[in-house]
Amino acid sequence: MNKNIAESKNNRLKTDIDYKAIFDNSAAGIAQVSLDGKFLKVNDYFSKITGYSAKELLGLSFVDITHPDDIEKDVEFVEKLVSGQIKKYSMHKRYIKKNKKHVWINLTGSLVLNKDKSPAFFIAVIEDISEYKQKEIELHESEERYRDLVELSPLAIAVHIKGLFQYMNGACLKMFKAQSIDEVKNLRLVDFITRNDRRIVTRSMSFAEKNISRGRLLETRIIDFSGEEIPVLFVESKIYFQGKSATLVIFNDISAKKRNEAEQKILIDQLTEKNEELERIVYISSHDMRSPLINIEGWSKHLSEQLRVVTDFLNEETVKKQMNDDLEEIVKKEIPLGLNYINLSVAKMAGLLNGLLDVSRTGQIKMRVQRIDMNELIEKVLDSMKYQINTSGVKVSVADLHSCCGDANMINQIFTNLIDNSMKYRSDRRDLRLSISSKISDGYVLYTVRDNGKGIPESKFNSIFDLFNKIDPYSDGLGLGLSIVKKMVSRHGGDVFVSSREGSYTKFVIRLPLSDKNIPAGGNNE
Amino acid sequence: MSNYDIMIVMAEDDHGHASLIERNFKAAGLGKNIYRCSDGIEALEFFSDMQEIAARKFVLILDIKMPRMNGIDVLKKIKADSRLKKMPVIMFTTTDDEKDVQLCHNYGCNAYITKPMEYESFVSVISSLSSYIKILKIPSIN
Repeated sequence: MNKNIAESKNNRLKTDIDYKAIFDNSAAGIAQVSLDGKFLKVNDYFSKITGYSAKELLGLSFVDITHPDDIEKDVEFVEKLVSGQIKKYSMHKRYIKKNKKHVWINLTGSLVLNKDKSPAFFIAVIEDISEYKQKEIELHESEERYRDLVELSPLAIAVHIKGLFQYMNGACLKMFKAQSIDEVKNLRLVDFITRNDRRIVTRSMSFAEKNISRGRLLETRIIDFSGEEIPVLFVESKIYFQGKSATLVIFNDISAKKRNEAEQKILIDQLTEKNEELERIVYISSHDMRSPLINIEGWSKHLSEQLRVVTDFLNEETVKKQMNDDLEEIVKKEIPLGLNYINLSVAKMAGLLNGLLDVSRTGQIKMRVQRIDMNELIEKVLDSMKYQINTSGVKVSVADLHSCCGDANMINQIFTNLIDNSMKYRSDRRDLRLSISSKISDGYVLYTVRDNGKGIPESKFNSIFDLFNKIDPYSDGLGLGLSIVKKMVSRHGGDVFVSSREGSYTKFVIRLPLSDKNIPAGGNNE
Repeated sequence: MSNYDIMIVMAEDDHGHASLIERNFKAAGLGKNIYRCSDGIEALEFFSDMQEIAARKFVLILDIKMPRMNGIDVLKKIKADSRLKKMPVIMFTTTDDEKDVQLCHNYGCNAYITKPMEYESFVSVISSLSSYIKILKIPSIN
C-alpha cells in the first residue's frame, strides 16, 4: 500500500515536471486564467505575443488586453464554457499589445474543473496569426478588386462549371440579351454556340479543363436570347469560383471588326475595279485618242502642202485673170485659216493628252531608290537649264545640300519643274533670284526652293497642285508641273508645302526621306 | 539584190493612217510593192494564200489595235510559224504603253515604233524606217 502511494506520488511528481516543461517551452502562448478573467499564470511565449511581462499580466484581466470589438464574442464563449454548453472554443481575435498595436491570435479556451466538477480556472492557448490574417485581408481585397474588375469589364466574362453557366458579368448578360444571372444559371454554354461550331467548342472546353490553365483562342459565333448570332473570340481559363474548380470564359465581340473587314473588302474591290478602269482610260488615251489626231495632223499638213501647189498655180498671172475672185478668197484665205485652226487644236489636244499620260504614268514608273548626292543632282538640273538661266539673267544660289534617298530621275524632275516654274512666273520688275537650301528634320531632309517672283495668292495654295490647274491662266504650259511634283514626292513618302506672298516671293519646301527606310515598298502608288 | 524588190505587207485598220504611211513609203522609194490589209485576219490570210505571189521577201508592218484580230496576236502566230518566223515584223502603232512594248518583244517582234503625233516626226520616222528596211538582209520565205 505504502509502496503504491509512494509510486503514485513519484509518478505525479514526474508528471508535474513534464507539464511545467511543456508550459515553459511551448511555442504557443499559454495562460491560466481565473474564473473572473484574471491572469494567474502565463508562459514566456504568452508574454512575447502580448508584449507584457508575466508580472504585468498577473494584475490584468483578459478583457483589459482584448480588442474592444472582440470582447463580446469572447465573453459569450466563456459563459458557454462555464455553463457547460461547450468544452472548449477557438476564435480569431485581437489582443492590444503593450505598445498599443493589435496582434491577431488564434485563441483556444478551455475550462479546468475541480474534483467536484465545479469550475476551477480557464486555460487559454494562443498562437500569433498576424501573418495569416494579413494574407487573408489581402486576399479578400484582391478578390474584391477582381470582382469589380470583372463586373466593370467591357469584355463579356462568364464562369461555368462543367459547361453550365454559374456567373456572367454585365457585359456578358448584355451580349446574351439576358436580364439577370438567374436567367442563365445552369444553362449549357454549348447551347449558345452556333450549331456548326458546337463540336469544336466542346473539344476546346475539355482541353482547357484537362490540360493547362488557359485554353486556345477560338473564333466562333454565339446565339443570344433573341436568336441573333454574334461573332466572338472565345477563350477559357481555369479558376476557382466560390471554392469550386470552375472555368472562366471571355467572349470578345468582333462583329465591328467583321463588319469593317467586309466593308474593307468591298472598298478594295471597288478600288481595284476603279484602278483597272483608270488603266483602261490610260490605254485608250494612249491609243484610241491619238489615232484620230494622227489623221487630223497628217492630212491637214498634207492639205496645206497641196494648197500651196494650188496657190502657186493661182498666182500665175494667166490663170489668175480667169479665176473667180470668190474662189481665190476660199483657196487663199478660208481654207488656210481653217487648216491653221485644225493644226492649233491638234497641237493643244496632243499636249493635253501627253501631259495626262505623263501624270498617270508617274504612279506606275518603277522606282530605283538610291542615295542621292543633291549637290550633284541640282548641278545637273541647272546645267540642263543653262541657256534659259543665262539669257534671262537669273541669279541662282545653292547652299551645300544634304543628300537624301530616292529615285534620281524623279527627284531631278521635281526640281526641274520647280525651277522652271520660278522662271516662268518671275516678276517683270526685278531680276529673278533663286535660292536652294536644305536642312534635316526628323529623318527627312527639307529642301527649300525660294524665288523673288510674282508669288501666289494664298487662296490658290491648295489648288496649284491640281491637274491642269495653272497659277497664271495666260501662261504657257499645261498646268501639270506641280501635279507631277506632288505625285512624285508622295511616292517617296514625302510631302511638298508652299508659302508665298503675292508680289514678293514663293517658297516650296520638299520633304524627302533621309534613308530608304522611310520609303514605302515600291514607292507609294496612288 | 536590193531590197527595193521586197514587199511591204501592212496591217492597218485606219485607212487614213494607211494612206499616210503608204504615201511616205512611196516618197522614200519603197512604194512599188505595198500590200494593205485592214485587220489581222486579212494579214494572216495573205500569207496562207501566198503561193500565188511571186515575191518571196516580205516585211510585215503591224498596227496593234485592229478589229477581228489584233497585231499582237498576229505577231504571236507569225513567230510561232516555222516558215514565217524569219520575216521581219515591225510593230507600228499609236500606243507606247510599256506593257505592249514588252509583250511584242517577248513574242519576237523585230522593231517596235510608235506613230508620232506631229506630222513632221511622222514623216521623218517613215523615212528612217524606209532607210532601215532598205539595208536589211531579209531571208526569203519558201
